Amino acid sequence: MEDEKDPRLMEKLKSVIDPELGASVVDMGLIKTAKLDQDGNAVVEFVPSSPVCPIAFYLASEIKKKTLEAEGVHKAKVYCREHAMEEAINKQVNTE
Amino acid sequence: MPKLALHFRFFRISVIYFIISGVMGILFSIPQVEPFTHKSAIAAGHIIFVFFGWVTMTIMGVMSKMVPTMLGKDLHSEQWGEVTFWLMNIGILGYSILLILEGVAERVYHLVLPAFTTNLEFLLALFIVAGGFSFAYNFYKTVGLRTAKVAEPSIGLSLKFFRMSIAYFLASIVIAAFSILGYTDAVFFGLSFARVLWVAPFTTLGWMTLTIMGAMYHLLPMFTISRVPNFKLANAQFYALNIGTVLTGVAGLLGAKRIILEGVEVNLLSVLQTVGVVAAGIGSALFVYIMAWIVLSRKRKELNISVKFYLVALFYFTLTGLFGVVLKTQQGYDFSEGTKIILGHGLLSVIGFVSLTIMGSIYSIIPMLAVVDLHARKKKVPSILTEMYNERLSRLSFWLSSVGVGGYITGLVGEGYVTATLTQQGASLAQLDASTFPFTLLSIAFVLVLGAGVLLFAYNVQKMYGWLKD
Repeated sequence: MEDEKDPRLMEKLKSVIDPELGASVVDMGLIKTAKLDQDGNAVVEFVPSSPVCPIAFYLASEIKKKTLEAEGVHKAKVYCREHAMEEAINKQVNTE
Repeated sequence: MPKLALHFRFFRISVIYFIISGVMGILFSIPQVEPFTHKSAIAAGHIIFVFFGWVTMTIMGVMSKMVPTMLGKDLHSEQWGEVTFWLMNIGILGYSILLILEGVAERVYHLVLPAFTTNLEFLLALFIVAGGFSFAYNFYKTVGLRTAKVAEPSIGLSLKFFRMSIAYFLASIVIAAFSILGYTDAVFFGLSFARVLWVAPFTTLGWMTLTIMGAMYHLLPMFTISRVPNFKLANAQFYALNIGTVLTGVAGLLGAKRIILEGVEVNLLSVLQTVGVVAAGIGSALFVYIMAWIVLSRKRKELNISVKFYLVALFYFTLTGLFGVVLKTQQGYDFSEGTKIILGHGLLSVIGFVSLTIMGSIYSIIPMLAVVDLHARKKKVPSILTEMYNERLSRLSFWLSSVGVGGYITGLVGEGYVTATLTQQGASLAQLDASTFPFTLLSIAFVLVLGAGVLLFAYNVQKMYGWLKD
């Protein structure tokens, strides 16, 4: 069974800093799930600190970048949750 | 170097207007200068810089970017945005410079100005009116007249405030502009503020206060990691304030005195005025309550610079409301009329509430939008927003501005109080001058403190723009 928060992904995601708060998205508990399957497909879900924060676009992009840098990851999908613009964010970050 | 995005240019020019108007305000507080500026066209030019250059241009910048972002879409038309930007700038600069020149000609050179000056004033004011309409067109085309259900209810709430506030803005500038030529004076009771394109309370409550409230419903929960506690209550607050604005506005236009509570003749206008003031009071009190709830239930422990500005602004807002009620009683009206108490009350709202809120918002909005911009251009993004400006100076600018406003208003109200009291006792002009002098000094000292706060703020804004350069 896949780990809900894969330690390799979580370790990598520690370097994603929310510039508004100056803290890691991992330390702030913004990462809801970070799964990695045997084929190297990663899926990360995160909840920004505010449902209207414009920085969520940037965070989603950074999370995807760092996830792809993690060991064993070939493909990554990142989903922003509980945000007013989650549809637009998810579309943008996953079609880059 | 690529041209700065439209919203950033709105912010930048608004801060420049803020500095110009601040310098003028400091000069005006010098007793030797006052005879040239008091109730003159020079003061009207100064107000145009404050109200349109600083407040309105910032609001337009915020709405041009934050509102489409809230809805996850683009501004309806960037070209219309550009048109708005230039119409407003031509109008603000042209109209205020003309007013200042008129004031100088009258007060310094004692010249009687030719009749066509009024027509020229009207023409330049029309640029501002046209800018207002092009802005409104772009806004309504972007957001529509009704908001489809949005994932985050605070967005729908903010948009509701903005839709109404823009309508008040258009109404007030049209009425005021036509009053310059004397057209609307025949319909509405003499509009003493027409020259500054100002029709209170449509301008004060309707445009500035409603817009700021709408923005705070969106920004305060974001900056504190909190939420609006009760949307039904927030909607009630919205309607109470609108009822207050419309009733007091209509009553005022039709000639109602601004007196409530006692000594007022009971007729339709006085009832409209009194019910309106009560509704506006309820709306304001509910707003302060909701904002306090948002802050107290926040998840983010430390208060960022924006929230600190908001808290002081809310304190001054509450004070403005309470002070306003006192001034609207028969006794308060008689005592304060024609004194600096009225000016103090007005500035408490415009600087204490409006300007401090805008300054606080800019400290977070520019960095946040800059991150989005820098990321899109694949540029270095700051690891923390406060890196974009000097944090120590931001704290200093906060304290200087907050304390400066308080001291400045205290000086003005104190001067007004002494003037009113001694005038009632039949004091001579020399006695008046001697007794008000300490308060005049107090005003000058604190307006300089406030000015220092504004300059530090402007320095920090400039520092933020440094990040956007290539």
